[in-house]
Amino acid sequence: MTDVERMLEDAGARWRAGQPPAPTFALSDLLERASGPMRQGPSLLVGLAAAAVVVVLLGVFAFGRFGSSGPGRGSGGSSASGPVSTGSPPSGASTGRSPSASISPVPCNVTLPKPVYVPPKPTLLTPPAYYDSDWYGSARLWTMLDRQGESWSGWVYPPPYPQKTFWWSADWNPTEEPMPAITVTGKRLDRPGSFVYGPGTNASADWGSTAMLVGVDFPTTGCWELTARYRGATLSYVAEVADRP
Amino acid sequence: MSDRPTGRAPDTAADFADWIGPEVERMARLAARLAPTADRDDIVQEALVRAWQKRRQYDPARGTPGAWLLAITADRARRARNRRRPMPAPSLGVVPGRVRSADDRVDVEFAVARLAPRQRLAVDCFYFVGLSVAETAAVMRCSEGTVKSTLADARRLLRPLLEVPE
Repeated sequence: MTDVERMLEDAGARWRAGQPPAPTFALSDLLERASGPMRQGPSLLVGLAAAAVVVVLLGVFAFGRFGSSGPGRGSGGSSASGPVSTGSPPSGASTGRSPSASISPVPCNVTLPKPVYVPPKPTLLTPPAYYDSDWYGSARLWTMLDRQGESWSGWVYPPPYPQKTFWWSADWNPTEEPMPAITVTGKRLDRPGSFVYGPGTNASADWGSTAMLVGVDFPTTGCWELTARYRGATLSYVAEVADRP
Repeated sequence: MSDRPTGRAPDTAADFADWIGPEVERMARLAARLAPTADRDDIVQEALVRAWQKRRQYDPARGTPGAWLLAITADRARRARNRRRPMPAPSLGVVPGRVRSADDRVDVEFAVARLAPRQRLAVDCFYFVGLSVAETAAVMRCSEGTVKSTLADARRLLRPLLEVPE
């Protein structure tokens, strides 16, 4: 066994030892609840009904009943003007994601990282692949957004700042300003609600970059627009907060 | 003598529950490893329900029940990770370029995080969750040979990151 294998096996054994016990479910009850006529596989009746719907849709489509104003999906709102400034609706691409009914009655158009921003060196041209994210913003202020938009729950960090927001700027020198004068405000879009946090601190990313870090907490779940302000630059995006601690 | 399930999936909820029971712990470990920011128990529960709904599709000739359940768990973990990912979390306080610390486990975790996604998945399944090569292959949906070569590539890349001399 090589040293690397031994280190991996040791680390793995320690990780397993630190895991909580296996969950206990009332398995039979759980599975009984999951059982139902639809769960057992589609019946012939369901198949026929689905086929009928397809035929009707094809007929409607063939006769041009769907106009160009039909509902679209995804990133049709992409704008060449780039990320938004405070006070404007988001001009970046957005999704029509509908959060669960318990969160908000209206869809939350979370911001997609479009147009993708390419930062100056030495920052990576794109975030490491395992983040499944792109840069979003401009040289004066940018952040990293999930390619599907940000939808947050399952908090990692303890209160009072269970969510960390990370920001980069070509105007920021972490050595000269370890506690950057950045603020992050939140405005709930589907109902009244707001917050403001700042200044920030600094954080080192796992690929070596240093970011401005602002920890925030959301008073409620829902659809939130976050706006960062740093040295006259502003950057906003919309995120869905699906639950909170 | 193994307690692991064998044969075709039972068709009653009670028997099915008994059949999958011995695998729940490994399913939970896999869920925790692949989607650390999601709720592990939710993922396992979703995977169990999914397995129950798909029980008639399980074919013993294509792999063990354990591998089948783990592959379903990995799929649910991937969905949970994409669905519920918090803001990306750069590691606080990590000095760029510095890998070795007083805690070797942190070093290894840090180095593993730098691998390509497929390599990291192989390392997570094999070394951390403790799956066999065959089970790792089921999770990765590839051959056992591919798992072995992926693990070898990962170890080769980890060597300089862990400052292990050639």
